[in-house]
Amino acid sequence: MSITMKDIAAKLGVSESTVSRAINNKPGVGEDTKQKILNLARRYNYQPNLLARNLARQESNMIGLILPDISSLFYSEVTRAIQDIATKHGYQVMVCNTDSDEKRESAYIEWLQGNKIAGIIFLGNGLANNKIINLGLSGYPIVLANRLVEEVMLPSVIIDNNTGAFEATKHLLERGHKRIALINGPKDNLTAQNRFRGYREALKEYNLDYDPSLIINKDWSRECGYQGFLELLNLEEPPTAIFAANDLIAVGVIEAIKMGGYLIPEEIAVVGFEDTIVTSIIEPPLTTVAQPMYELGANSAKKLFSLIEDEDIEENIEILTSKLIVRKST
Amino acid sequence: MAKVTLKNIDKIYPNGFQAVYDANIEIQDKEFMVFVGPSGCAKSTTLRMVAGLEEISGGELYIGDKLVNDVAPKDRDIAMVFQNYALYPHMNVYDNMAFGLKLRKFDSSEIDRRVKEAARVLGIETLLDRKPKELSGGQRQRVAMGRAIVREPKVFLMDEPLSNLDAKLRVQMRAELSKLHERLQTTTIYVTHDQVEAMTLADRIVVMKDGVIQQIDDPITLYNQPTNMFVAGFIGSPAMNFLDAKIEARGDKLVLTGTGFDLTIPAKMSQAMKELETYVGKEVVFGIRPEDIMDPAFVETNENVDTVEATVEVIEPMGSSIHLHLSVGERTIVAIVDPQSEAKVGDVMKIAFDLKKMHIFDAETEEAII
Repeated sequence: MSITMKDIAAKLGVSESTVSRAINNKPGVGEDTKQKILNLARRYNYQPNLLARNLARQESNMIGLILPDISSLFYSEVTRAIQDIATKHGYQVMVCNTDSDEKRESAYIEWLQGNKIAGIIFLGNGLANNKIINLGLSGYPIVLANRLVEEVMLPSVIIDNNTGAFEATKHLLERGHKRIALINGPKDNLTAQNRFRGYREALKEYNLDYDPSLIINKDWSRECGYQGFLELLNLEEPPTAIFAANDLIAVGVIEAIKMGGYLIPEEIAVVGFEDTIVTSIIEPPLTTVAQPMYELGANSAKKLFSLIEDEDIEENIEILTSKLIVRKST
Repeated sequence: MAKVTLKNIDKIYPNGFQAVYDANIEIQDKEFMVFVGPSGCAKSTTLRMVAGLEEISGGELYIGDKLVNDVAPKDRDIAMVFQNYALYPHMNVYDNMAFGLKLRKFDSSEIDRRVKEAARVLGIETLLDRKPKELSGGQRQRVAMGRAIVREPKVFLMDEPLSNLDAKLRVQMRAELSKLHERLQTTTIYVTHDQVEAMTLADRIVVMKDGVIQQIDDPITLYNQPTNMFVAGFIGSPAMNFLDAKIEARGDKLVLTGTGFDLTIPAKMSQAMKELETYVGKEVVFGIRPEDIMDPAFVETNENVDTVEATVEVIEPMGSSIHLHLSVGERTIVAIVDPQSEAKVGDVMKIAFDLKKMHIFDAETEEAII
């Protein structure tokens, strides 16, 4: 068991508050006494009791991260970045999975605040609800990462999905493809809608009308990529290129293409979206739109620490753009 | 659309601080109601309780006929507009108005209808493809309004939405808000510290101070018949002048007397005489608005007018009028006089009070007597 302030005080015959002042470099302790205390603390490897210190200061060296589900590759990459920045600032990250349940989110907010957590990052896709708005209005440090808010300006870092989809489709068009299919997430999903818009805008730039039969809306899974490609094969004129709206869909598409004995990219080209770890596992390596996941996490955390440390924020809303990474599938 | 009713609403924070005391307000369907008061008067807190951003500590809140104390904010059918709105720089105007509906999974044809209708009402139909950086400050403000309008709420709640704009734009947007309310006829609660904004926009105004409602009335009544010294001093610019005084009976006349002035209350003001009789010998506060003090050279009638002597301290020519800062006894008062007035700094001059327009307050309670 390590030595406590009380032990040091007893050994040197001084009061506990004198030991505390010496260790925390506060005035009111004679130089000789201070040196004796510090020497003893060093010799016995004194470690401050952080829990007790934070209790006394009514603050903690923790930040909260509220997200839908850390098991998603996207969220875990963002979380990693947040933790890296937090560590540099001497903070720990408390991760709270909500499964997009508003009640759980509310409960976490209350719990984090009750435990004097220094600030919270809200990571996710939905709208910020009133509880978050109220937190922001009250001056409590919060940052929204990829989460939108209608009523007020809250410090945010957001990935622009639209331009990524535009670049992916444009890349296929530049490779000479004219029949480009889009296998997308659910029709009513905002991210899916944005990716569809980027796709359509690229076709428009090349004076091509979009063909509704080439658009498939399912969900974001590998299975849907697989099924989606089989559906496209039934068309009278099947596509020569597939834009898969995320990497998992792309994996499913590639599996289906290989099952049919087609060659990638000679017969069918594939582009994914996200640049998660699967893109380097799959064969051929996937051309994909890299979402700046690490940057999303790192910049959100930097913003939060600026707020916690009462520094000015350069941009209240920071937009990150996606970048096309060309590999072997196109 | 709906009326909003606050019944005996209290707000008490966990640390025991009471921010709002027994608020009773009935906002009619389609009404434009303004909450006004100095900072810290709890006008925003009251608005936030209606929004569901703050919990209600006591009392009942109704939207329409429905008690909503325990209804989740998102189910209250309200839309808020704050001064500090966010337009996303990577989205065009259409998307900036539509994303909330998209995330709430509205049907895309319904979203399209609502966004286009709001854009038409706001006169920004030609801007739908533009990005925020291509818009002027006023256009951006309209997009933020549009985002609230597309929700087609029963009630708009606006918390100082214009305070980020420069003075000229604020005046312009004020007029636009008025027109917008005419068109949409949506019940609106609007919070401001700016009494000019309150007077020009409101059907009725709630004046608040330290969490207590002082008066609820239409702008003209509030101006002409303030119920106490706080309202009298808060509404109107330059503010109403206050002079400590005493009521004295001299023969059959009542005289309002203070340091440096004696004003005989005209016999014609019999109702006022009656109210003031019970105050004979007591301390009161005499209140008169700057525009009800005149340079006697420009007064056509002596009826209901009495004069006092004053020294001119400062002259502020405003073009259409002159603001005179005058000392009467030990107090300084402001008068708005005819632009032709020849008053000069240092002049000792007679000034005329229009006593028909005077206000008398109980010095102790600060409540209006007349």
